Amino acid sequence: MKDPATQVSRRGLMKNLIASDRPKRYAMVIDTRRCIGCQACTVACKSEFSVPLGESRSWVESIEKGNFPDVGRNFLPRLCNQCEKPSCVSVCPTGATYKRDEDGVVAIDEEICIGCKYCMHACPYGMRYLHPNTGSVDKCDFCLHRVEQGVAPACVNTCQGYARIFGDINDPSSAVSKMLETNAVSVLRPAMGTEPMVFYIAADSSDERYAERTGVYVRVETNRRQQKRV
Amino acid sequence: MTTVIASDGGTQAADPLSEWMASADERAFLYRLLADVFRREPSAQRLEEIRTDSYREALNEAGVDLGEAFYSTAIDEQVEELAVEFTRLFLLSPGGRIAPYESVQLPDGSGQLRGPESQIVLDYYGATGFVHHDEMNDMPDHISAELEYMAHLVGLESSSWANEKQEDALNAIRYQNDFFYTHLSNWVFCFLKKVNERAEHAYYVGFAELAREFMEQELSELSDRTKQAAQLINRV
Amino acid sequence: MLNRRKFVKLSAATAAASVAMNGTLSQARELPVFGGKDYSPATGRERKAVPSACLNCVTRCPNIVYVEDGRIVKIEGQPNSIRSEGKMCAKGQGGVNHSNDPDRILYPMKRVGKRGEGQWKRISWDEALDEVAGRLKVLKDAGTPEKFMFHYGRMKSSISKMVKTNFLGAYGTKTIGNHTSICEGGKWTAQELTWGKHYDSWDFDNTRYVLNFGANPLEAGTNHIPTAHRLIRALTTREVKMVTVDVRLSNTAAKSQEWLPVRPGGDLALALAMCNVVMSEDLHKGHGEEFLKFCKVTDTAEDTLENKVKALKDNFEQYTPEWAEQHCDISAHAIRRVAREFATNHPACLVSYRGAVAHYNGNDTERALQTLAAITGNIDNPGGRCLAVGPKWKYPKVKKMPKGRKLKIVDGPKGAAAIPSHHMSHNVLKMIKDGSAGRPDIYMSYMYTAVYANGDVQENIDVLKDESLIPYSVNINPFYDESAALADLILPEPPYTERWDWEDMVSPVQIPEYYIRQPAIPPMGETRDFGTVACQLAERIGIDLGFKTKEEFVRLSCEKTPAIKAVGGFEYMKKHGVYHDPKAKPKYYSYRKELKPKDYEKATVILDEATGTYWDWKKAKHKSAEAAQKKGYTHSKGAYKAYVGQRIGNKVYKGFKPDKLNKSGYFEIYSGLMKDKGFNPMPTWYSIPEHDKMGDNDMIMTTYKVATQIHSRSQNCKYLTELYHDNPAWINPLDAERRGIIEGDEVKVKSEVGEITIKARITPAVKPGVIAISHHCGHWEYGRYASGNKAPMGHEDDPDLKRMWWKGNHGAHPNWIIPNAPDPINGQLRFMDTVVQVMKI
Repeated sequence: MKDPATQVSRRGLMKNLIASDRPKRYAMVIDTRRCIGCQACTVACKSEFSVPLGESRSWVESIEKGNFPDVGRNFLPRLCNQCEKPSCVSVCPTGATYKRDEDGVVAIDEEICIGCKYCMHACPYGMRYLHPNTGSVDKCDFCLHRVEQGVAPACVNTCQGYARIFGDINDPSSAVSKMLETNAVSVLRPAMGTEPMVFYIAADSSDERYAERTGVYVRVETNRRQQKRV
Repeated sequence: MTTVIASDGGTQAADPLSEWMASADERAFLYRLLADVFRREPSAQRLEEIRTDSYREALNEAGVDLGEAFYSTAIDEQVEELAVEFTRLFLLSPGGRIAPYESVQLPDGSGQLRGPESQIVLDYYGATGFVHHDEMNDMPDHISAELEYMAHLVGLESSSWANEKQEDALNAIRYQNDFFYTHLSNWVFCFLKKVNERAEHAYYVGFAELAREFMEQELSELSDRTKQAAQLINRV
Repeated sequence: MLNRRKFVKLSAATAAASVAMNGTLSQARELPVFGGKDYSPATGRERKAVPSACLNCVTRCPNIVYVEDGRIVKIEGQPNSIRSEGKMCAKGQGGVNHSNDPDRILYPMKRVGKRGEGQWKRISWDEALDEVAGRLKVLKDAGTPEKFMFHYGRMKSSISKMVKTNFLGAYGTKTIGNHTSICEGGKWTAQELTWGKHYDSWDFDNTRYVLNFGANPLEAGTNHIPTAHRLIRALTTREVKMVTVDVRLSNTAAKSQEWLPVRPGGDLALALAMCNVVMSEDLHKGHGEEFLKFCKVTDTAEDTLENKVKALKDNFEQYTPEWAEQHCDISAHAIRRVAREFATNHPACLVSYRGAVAHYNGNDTERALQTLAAITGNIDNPGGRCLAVGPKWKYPKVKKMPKGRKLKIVDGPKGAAAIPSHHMSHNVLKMIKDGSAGRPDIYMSYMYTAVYANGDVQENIDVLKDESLIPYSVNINPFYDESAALADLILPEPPYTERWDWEDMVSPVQIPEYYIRQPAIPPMGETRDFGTVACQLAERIGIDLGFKTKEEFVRLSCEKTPAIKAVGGFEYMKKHGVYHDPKAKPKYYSYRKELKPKDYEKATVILDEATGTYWDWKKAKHKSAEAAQKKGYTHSKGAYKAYVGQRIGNKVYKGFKPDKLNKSGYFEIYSGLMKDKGFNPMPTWYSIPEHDKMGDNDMIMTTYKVATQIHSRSQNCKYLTELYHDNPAWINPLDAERRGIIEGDEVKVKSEVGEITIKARITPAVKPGVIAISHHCGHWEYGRYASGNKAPMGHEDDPDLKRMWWKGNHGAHPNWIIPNAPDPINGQLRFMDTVVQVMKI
């Protein structure tokens, strides 16, 4: 009674409907105006992956500046930029780290990784760390294990200001696409040529050089073991 | 209506949301149809409907052939036949009936009528805002009630797509997924197998087979559907 | 090319003849939001989701605790909560660390050697219960149950009803201490004098303007996440303006459009001046005037609007912005502008908390702020500060209780505070030391660290250590904190992730939400929920409470509470965690509700002419109506419990129901109760004596909270303490330069009570003249993550212990140098007033 022609299931139909064979490109837009520096995302990420103390996959920096009484404090959430031209991938001797075709996430195969740390030095953003348990390098992967099940990444899910917007920029109707169309965005360290997929609205790039030049107090805190911002 | 730019540079109009809605409508219909099949013996009106050419063709395409005898029997006689068969299959006990309840049919379940499983299903309905009316003096975990419940959820999905309430549609799909995997799918297959083995009338053999095919399709697709819906509306 | 679908023709063929839906199911309410899900990154397996409630702060947000292989691995917000809408702060998520804390106490521990030596031996529960029950029985049999003192810090909802109401009630002791006066007791008292009840709930969803005095809702608060996420939403999606008055730039001030750096204690002057601007510029007209109908503004119960307006103008006339500028350091120009903005953007939300209230003059600061909200019509309205709404649980209660007796040691020395309606917990140890009001034989503390949370830490330690002052002390705790270290017996409780409770914190959408806490994993080791322990103690003393465990208590409460029973009782709550009535309407303007004659035309209800209040003389324990009339409502002890309604004109309203004090049903801007105690009945300026006497080189120390920690009991959570383990003192560059202090220098901070050494953080984010130090650091116990010190019987099974990169860097605790000094009206600990000398070491 089964007609082979009707064997093609609904699943195939669905795939056709959703951007057909075109791959996804996961990206994030972070609107720092909505970030209140509560660190819920930092702890969410830490606990989701039981990240060892002393390392972080995602964190929030604070930038305090001004002269009394005109003082401000801004926040800068950080995570792996899942770059289009990742320096880490280009230096990996074993091919353990690679950019996934299906969604653009830069992944690490910990079975292959030999822990040479070349990628850690190559990353202009300080996003990678050596995991003490596995001896391999680890980093943020946009919570693929959640995303594949249709659940938002841990940091996005918990953000009370809705400052982190996540989705597929290859889909013009996605929230990230719409935000990119209508807002002025910047990326971190564009001169490095890595083409990050994390875009910021109102990122505060003040640093010590700015402070020296203008005589304004600037304090940048990473809020983690690595005290210097990368 | 979104315009999709294909890799060859051409454009094609794609309206994924109306496709989701259409497929939801179809599934809701099937759930309602099957709920009705197992709830009561078919009326003359229903049999007339089923015996139309278009329906027959549709059934065939769905892989169900009720056989020549079905289409040539007089309606009155058929109503009587099917009433007897329905009774024999689902109502007459002891000794033979396939009690169409989750609490009875669930492998490794209590096996009891009005067992603890019935209450759990009733609680599930209640927790999701549905009231079970006891007019037929029957259990909340009757196959027709569970199928009807799925029909409601799928109907909610469809109307959510229609009203562009995508989050609500995804929510409804999540509940479909949850109810199907937590309840229905755990017993419907062995129930349908028993029906298939015991049924003598082509009507029940055929619709049990239709039910089985549909349930298998749901089984293999519902969780993917959930993920894809989530990704579609960018809840990742 | 679309693929053919198997059933499409079937549905099309019968489209016209629709399948009749004589269904047995009908949809009664909207589909709730599907609960959270989480997956293991390592295996992809779905993690078990347990809906529960947080307790890492008093907000008690509903949460979902995820369990994998029997371990708690993640905590997230509960999407179905109308309060928190699925959000959860860092603190709540840090709760994952409690169950696996390697320094957790898992067994009853009895002291060996001298108190505070840190020598312990493990004993069995039977031994422990026998010992405690034995001593309790001695006191009860001798007719002196009041010598059993129970002192709790955080005890709400079901544990409170189980232990305080039932166990202690049945035992017969009323020597019960709390912690409120180090928290916001003063704010509550000031509210009891004005609108009767506390909490004030801030309706950010509907507001157009937020004026914030000394609160930090984006980092901490009594209803933290429910209000914080609504606040940032209001600020960023509706462009609501927020102005924050604070001595330092908190994160809330940083996200506000304006930060007004006020002088400590100057909030009162600022508030009075804003009232002056409103009244002198007639900005009270409209909404304010309308509300004045429900206000008492003169000594006459029912006065004309004219007289009320005149009284307000007269009272605030002297408090001009120019006058205020000298006392608060905010320019008169800014005072006028902000007052006008607040008054003309309606509805506007007036937020206030400890920054404004924990001062010598805090009582009238809160009263002045209540007045400012009242005269602009922003009380209990959508978008304003509202009377908080929470769920009403019903629970089992022991029928026959003895008349309780108490030692008068919880309200501080006689005369130290005029109206300490929330006690003076920070003075309990002082009172015990003094001894003239008696001393307890048994001092039992629950979720309370007398040593660390109060001021004057050294005195706290000295009293607790002294067996001649406190013969026997028991501490109930999941962790070994500074107070547990000084006990004779420690009873181990599981952390909240392993406990049952029903919960009742208020909801800023003015619709009550019922929710429960349930164990995500069973209690580890031999820990026992103290509610259950209380039942076991009761049994040994011969008291039958009617329930045996906390779980049973929660289950019985679910069955007794009609709203919960109707939806499926305990089973429903276990599955869903939260419930609210989908048909409920938000409760605003509750004071306007008119009572029907049948409510007040009762045999035992009379009208008190002096106040216009209807009250039930029998409930007030009077012998007759005549006796009651003679004494009067205001002067009858406990008459507030007998309040029925308020007559205004020819109607009787629900009004502003009093609590703890015999206030009328009016919103009392003019307080007869204050007048009776010898204070000005309307909000008045008081300066702070110590500040008036300050030397040129003195500074004022303020304390504060950060987003990642709670006051004293989250520092064992390694994920939180990794983010915040050091609390350098904030000093303005001007003050630093004067003293030759540079960034990172060790400085000495000295008060009349003690001195500490702390690192300096030179920042313009604090007002000159102020040194700001957070509470959270400076532990010397509480486990290795908090202090570097291992708890007795701590273990090594946490590989992260080796990775604690901040070891040795645990900050300094300011409470050593804060005196346990009370607000003279309400007894609040004056956390923000301490005069100090700061010098480089």
